Amino acid sequence: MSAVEGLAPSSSLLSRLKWLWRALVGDPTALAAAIWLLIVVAGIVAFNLGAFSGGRIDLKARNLPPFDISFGWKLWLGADALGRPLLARLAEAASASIGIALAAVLTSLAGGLVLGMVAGYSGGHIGNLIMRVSDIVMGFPTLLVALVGLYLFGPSVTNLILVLAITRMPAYIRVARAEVLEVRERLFVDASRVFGAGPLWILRNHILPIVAPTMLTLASVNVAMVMLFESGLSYLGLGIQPPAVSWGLMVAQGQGYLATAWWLACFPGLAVMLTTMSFNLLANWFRIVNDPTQRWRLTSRKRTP
Amino acid sequence: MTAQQPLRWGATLLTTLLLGTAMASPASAQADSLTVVVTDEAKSLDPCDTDLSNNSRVLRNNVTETLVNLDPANGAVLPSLATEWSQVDDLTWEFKLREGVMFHDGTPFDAAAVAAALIRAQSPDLGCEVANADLKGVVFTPEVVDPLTLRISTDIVEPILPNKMASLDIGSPSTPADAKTRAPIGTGPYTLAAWNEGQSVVLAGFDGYWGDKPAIANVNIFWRAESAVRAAMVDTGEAQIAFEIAPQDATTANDYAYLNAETSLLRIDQAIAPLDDKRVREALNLAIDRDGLIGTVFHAGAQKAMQVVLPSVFGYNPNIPVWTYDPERSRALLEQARADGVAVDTEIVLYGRIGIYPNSSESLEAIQAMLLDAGFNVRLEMMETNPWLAKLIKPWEGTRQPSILQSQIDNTQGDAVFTLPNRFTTDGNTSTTVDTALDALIANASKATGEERQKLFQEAFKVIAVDDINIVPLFHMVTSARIAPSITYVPDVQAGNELKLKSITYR
Amino acid sequence: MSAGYFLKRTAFALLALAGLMIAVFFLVRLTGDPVNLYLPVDASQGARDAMRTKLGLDQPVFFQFLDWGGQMLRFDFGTSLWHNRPAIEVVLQALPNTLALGAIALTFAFGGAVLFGSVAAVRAGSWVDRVINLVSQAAASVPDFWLGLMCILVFAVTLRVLPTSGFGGPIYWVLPVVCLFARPFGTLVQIVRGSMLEALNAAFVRTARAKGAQTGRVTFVHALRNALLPAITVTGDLAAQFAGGGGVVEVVFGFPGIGKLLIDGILKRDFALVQASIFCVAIVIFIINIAVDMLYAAIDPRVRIEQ
Repeated sequence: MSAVEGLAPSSSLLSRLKWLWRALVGDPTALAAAIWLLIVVAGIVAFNLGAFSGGRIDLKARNLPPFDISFGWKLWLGADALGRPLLARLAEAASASIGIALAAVLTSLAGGLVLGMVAGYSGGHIGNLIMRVSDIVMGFPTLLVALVGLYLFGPSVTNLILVLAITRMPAYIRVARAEVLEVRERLFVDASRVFGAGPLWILRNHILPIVAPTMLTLASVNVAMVMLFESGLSYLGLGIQPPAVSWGLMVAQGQGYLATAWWLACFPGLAVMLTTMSFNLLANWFRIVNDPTQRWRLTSRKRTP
Repeated sequence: MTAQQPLRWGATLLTTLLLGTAMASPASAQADSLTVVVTDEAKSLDPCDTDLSNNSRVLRNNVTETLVNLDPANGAVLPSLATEWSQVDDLTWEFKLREGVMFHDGTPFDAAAVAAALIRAQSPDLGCEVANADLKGVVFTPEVVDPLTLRISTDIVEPILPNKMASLDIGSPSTPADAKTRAPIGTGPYTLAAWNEGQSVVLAGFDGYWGDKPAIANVNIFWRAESAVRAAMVDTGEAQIAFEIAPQDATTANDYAYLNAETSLLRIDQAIAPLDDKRVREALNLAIDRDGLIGTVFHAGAQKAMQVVLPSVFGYNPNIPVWTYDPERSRALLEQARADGVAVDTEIVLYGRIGIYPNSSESLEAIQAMLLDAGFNVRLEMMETNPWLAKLIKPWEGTRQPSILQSQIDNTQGDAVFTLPNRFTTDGNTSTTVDTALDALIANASKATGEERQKLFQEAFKVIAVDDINIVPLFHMVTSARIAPSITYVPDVQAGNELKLKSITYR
Repeated sequence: MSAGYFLKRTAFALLALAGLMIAVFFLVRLTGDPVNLYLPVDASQGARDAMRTKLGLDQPVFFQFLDWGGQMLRFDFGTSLWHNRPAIEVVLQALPNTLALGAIALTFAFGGAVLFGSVAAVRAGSWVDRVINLVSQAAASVPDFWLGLMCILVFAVTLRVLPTSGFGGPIYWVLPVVCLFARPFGTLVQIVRGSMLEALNAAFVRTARAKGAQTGRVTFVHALRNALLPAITVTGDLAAQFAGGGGVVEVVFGFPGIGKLLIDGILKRDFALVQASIFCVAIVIFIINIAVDMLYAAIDPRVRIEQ
């Protein structure tokens, strides 16, 4: 990623990592966020390696309360409405939630970047067409798109990803286009044009590096948003369908038990919150790391003026 | 400006906001008014649309009344707007109407009003629920003999005509004949005072009511989608009755569980292999631990079902045994079938409907796990209502995969004829059964009367459950209502369709 | 902003609106036939066919489309199947509720965000900044229906100071507003803080400071004005989202707004209602976008409206 390479141009990989590490330790919230994401990743890996095997339905353990170590570490977070260890369910749901959010965001990022840059750079009819179509997509209720997807193509993860990606894409298109419009008029772009550079070359070498950081920031914020969106859709019965599971679906299923077994909705809700927060915090940290005017904050322990 | 200043303003603002809201307190109950909270807004409030609970809970016997009522205990026909009735010949019945009854608009209630309501309900242009669900298949022709005598004749024999009249709510003759109304005028103890769309329905006592004046004069009906919210409304005093409380919320002393006339089941598509093999269908039944489901995902008051109607329904067969949980035998049956070349490893889809009853998807996840344990290859697919209906109701499109479908059958009308023909005969629009002998049995039962009718229907239930094993019966379902201790109200098996407001008083 | 610009903008918006409505027409019909939902399960095939004929659903989609186009030209949105009265009437009843709810929540969110965001930026790195940062991040990350249910449990069931749900006096608005407020507030604080920091570090502010301007003035005239632009853009986007209804929050609180209407309309395959809601929402979104552009021009004279 070009943004990372911009850090310390002449240094070796090792020293760059060292520098990043210092920058991370210098920001306790970012460090906490990174640790949380590591835990989540560890959970996903552990689940896929089968560490939680035996997480079967056991109606006798239904809604077992959390924080009681006597049932074994797997049941430390309690059990869900079908007696499955909540810890295992959370780990299973993590891969779905994060996978869906990342896939949807990457899809809309890629699509939005390309379309936005084309719209911004070429302007004219193509640009207008792209913008009008994206206005139309913006006008759609995501619910309707989700429902059509669900009805026509069946409830599958791929459809959900597509629905989320398409409905989020206009935001990327608009931001990318706005940035391109601004950059296009700058001197160095004009200069390149004068020297005979083709539009593709200009887009890749002059415009993309400037547009990319903004888009990445938007994307990191959107990961959070998409996770919340997915949970909302699942709550209405239009998202992930059982027996598949995501944090959003767990909240939706657990909300019926808020009064009697709070942990069912609370833990996945917290997981969504902490993970989205972590994405946001790390995105902020990342932006600061890449901003020469602010970078000093992280490596020096000095407080602000 | 220092940085602390805006912070302090913010804090002040928030405090003011919170305190300001805390001062006011939610509305609480008054002695002559009652608030009821249901799941969903009424759809039309037309007297001829009383098959769905959202409409009929508001209207039936509150705003509009029927010629007769059914006894919730045993389905016996009881007088209401008609005082007596008799069969004149095979195709004709005569009803004597109650004297001195008046509609809310001042029109007197008479035979012409009933005739108009009966004709209106059957109008093909209106597409009334009553016609589509309760009166269908028969043409009812009214004839006014005198103001208090009405004859109703039918085109085919209708042995349970009085039962069917329990579904026909009588609206005033001023109800438009060619359009649905949103302002029903009936003879009931309450008038529709207001319908604030999206918010509430308000009923007010009717001074000219022919019967005893109800104790509670003003009734508000609200709707909230969340069970937890409905339950909380009774706790906070915002409502006195909350219907459809989910099992996990129904844990207080104010929660009253009652059989709701629904029976849950899994419908087997027995036209498709391997489900066309009876051993496979039996194995399905043996693989499900019904006792394990009761009191966990299903309410503790649910009763294991052996057939799809409740004991209070005419035609119920008390001699059909309940399935026992026997995974060993289930596996053995599957092995037997496999040995005979039945493709038992084919994937079977378990179609479920989101929210068909509380914990609907959890119950299917549990059942799926039980079936997987028994050696079935089952995939669960949860659907939204409309696509689920497309799987339930014929015509079915395309090639079908072997499937079992989560379903629920209700019978509030008290006779097996409202359940069997449509669901278990070859021509039934939700039936997967193709069995000409069973078709004939059900047809004969529908035409018979008395003990003969009962015997034939009981036989039909036995064929379905035992001889052919056409279904996986689950439970006679219970629903919970949360009822404020300050009122007397006991929901019965009809509570899904009828909120008997005039029976309620404050303690 | 010239009249020509406005006309051109309106023309484009009308085109987009037409495109949107046409797309909705076909999309909503792709979700399946409503007839099964509206007739009892026991209804005969004849009754189903009769209803299809009555609704015109037996016609080829192209003819249905022509019919519908003719109706739209007369601003006739048809009758809502579920509500059994003109769809536009149902929508216009719900729209003001939603707009009021969204406006209140966004006003609080915007005001609060400018306040806390600028404080955080001015005192960047201090504990105040960290607390504001964490709280706003949490607010931006909380699932709204979850927050709604938690609020009901705490404020309505346990503390009994607020009604669980419903509609009426100001008291019924508190919880829905709080739930809708959280996410925009969190997002906007981040944006205000971020752009303020950037602006504070930008050359022109340093110049102003070097020229001897007072710190307070530097912060609030130069930096805040720059920081407001992105905040307004995002608020505009959020307002456009909210115009579509508080969605899930409206469902949780039984708030009679357009979000609940739309969700019900979609689940109940009430085509007329869905089309009428989306039409009205689209118009509101258009007005919001114009208003945002005007605000932009008012705040920053450098912003040129594209022709």
